[in-house]
Amino acid sequence: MLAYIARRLLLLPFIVLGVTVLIFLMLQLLSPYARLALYIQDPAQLKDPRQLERLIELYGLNDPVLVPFTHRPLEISLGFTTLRIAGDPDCGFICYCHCSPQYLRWLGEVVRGNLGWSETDKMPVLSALISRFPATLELAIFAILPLVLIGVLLGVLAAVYHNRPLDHTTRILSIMGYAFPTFVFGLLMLMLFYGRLGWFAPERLTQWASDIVQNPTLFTRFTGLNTIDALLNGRWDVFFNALSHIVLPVLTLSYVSWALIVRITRSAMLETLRQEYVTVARAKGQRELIVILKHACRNALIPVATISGLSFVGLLNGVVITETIFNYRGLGKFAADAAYNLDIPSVLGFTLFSTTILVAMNLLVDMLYAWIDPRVRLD
Amino acid sequence: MIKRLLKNPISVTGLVLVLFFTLIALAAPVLAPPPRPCQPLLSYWVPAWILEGFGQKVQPCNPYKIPQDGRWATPKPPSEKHPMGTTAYQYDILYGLIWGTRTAFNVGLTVTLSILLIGLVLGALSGYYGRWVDELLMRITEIFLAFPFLVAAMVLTAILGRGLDKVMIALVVFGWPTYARLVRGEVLSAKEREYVLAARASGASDFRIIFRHVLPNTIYPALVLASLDMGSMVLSAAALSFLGLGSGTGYADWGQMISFTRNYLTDLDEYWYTVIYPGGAILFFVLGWNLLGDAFRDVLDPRLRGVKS
Repeated sequence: MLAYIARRLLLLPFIVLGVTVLIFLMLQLLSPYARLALYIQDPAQLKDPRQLERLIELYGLNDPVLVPFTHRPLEISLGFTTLRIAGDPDCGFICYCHCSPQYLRWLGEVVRGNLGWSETDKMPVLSALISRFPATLELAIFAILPLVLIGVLLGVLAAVYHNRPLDHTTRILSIMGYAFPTFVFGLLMLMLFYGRLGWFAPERLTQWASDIVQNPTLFTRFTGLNTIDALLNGRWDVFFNALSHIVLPVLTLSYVSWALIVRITRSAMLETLRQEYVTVARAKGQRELIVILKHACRNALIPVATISGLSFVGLLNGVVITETIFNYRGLGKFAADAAYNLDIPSVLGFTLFSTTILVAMNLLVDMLYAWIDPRVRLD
Repeated sequence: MIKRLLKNPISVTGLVLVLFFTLIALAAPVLAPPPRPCQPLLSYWVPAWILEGFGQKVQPCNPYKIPQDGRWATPKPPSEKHPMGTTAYQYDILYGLIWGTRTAFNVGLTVTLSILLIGLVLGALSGYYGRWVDELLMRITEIFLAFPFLVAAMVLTAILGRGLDKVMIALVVFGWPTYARLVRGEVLSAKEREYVLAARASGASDFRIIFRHVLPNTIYPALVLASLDMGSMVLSAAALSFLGLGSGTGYADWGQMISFTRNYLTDLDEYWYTVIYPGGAILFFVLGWNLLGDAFRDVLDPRLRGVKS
């Protein structure tokens, strides 16, 4: 088990490095002027054209990306162009590539937390991410817990009542859920529950509640999560208001993953119920409930653990669309607005953030997997 | 195989849906003739470069541009002139839906076939040669898979600039690794089989072994995934279009048509037709391919054969 985890941890830096290299290479498609916004913290610097040239020089944005070196200068003629490779006498006989100074400088800025200027929120990208994070966290918490619990329960029930009405209903619902585009589902929810019935509203809070929350004398912000802060402040009216605003986004965000979890649980459970040890348990005269819970479920839930991790990808993808539809001011709406304005530093900031979360989650799921299923450790 | 497909009502539903959309795409010029017809008429179905190869003169023509009935900014409900109503700025919804079917097939086929091809080649190389080739390629796929798919596609599209072609490029760039992994796994187990050993013993080249013996026996799971992706890639493209990264205003593209609703999210009850019709088109297109993909899986995966699920 330890060796398995160690191997996973050893691979982690390579993935993180690879991710940054890939992003850096994608950024090279932009002009140096467009890339400049990734480095600066003050938009006034972008106004003066003479300043621009100086900054490009300063950050080395015109430097070559790959700097190949050999021990002797080389010229390779390709017909339409000639490749010139600088010589470096210190370099050994084998050619090697210096790491691009431009990449290292960019990486250094990222590590220091300088993600550039966000034109969308008119503040540095990192501050924008931090200020919008609690809203999205709140959404994710409310989306994940019911998702996994109800999804697994329905999946197990569908398998136990195989080919009965419950099974058919769940199956059709989960197939529909799988095909239902997030934004169409979200728009329908908004149309029905806000437009027609007026039950739930978009945005994070109604105006009166938002006024209370933003007033420091009435309301202390502990976490930035509206529901939890409302409880800590003892404001039940705000709590219920926040809750009513979060219902639709949570539904929209989680139904796709929900369909996936039900589907996987159902098929894993069906597979397990056919195993011989289940038959043996039944033959022993074990009660059916015990057979299902102790013998079948524990084995069937192994793939479900992986899928729960995978459905996290769905959440990260879905959060952009969902928050846009419900005008819910979180990270997803930030990314969507930024993408609409082609505000690269902001979109990239969100990408870095969500990729980091995803890599961490994958690692966690893998470890969980090794813990649940002893067979993995023996590989 | 076809008999098995037709026995299951779910697969039949999928097949019917996909055939329905195929027919609409093929009959688009008849169902919704553009205000200025393209010349020659054959250019609706045959790419211009083929026609020109036969010495035909093809006039530039863009039937994908939805005809506009005025410039009024609020949508108008269904009427005799516009059976499904109009979007904001008076683009006819029915016309957009019909030609949007072609756009959906264009996007789906281009993206899916590209990632299938890339995935097959890289997966086969990785699985067959093993060692450092495998190590290198698999580490690269891991990097691509570390990104949330839609977010990554979004950032690449934003970097490349708006446009449906940019969206497709982004989907291909982040779509292939799944296939490469799948094919690699299949190739790994196939290359140890007797028929591969027999081919090698008879002196076949690596190229011949991979393309004549290994790939034909390992391609099915990738094909199943591709049929599922025909739907989901169109969905991703529509999502990016919805965010305003896709084709320009007035292009017949389902996601782009829905993106108008972003301007009146609180009045959807009144403008229901701007959501229901394009949304329904996307839903049933994706549903059709999903059901068909599931059916293919049941038919092609021998492990599930004989098991009633």
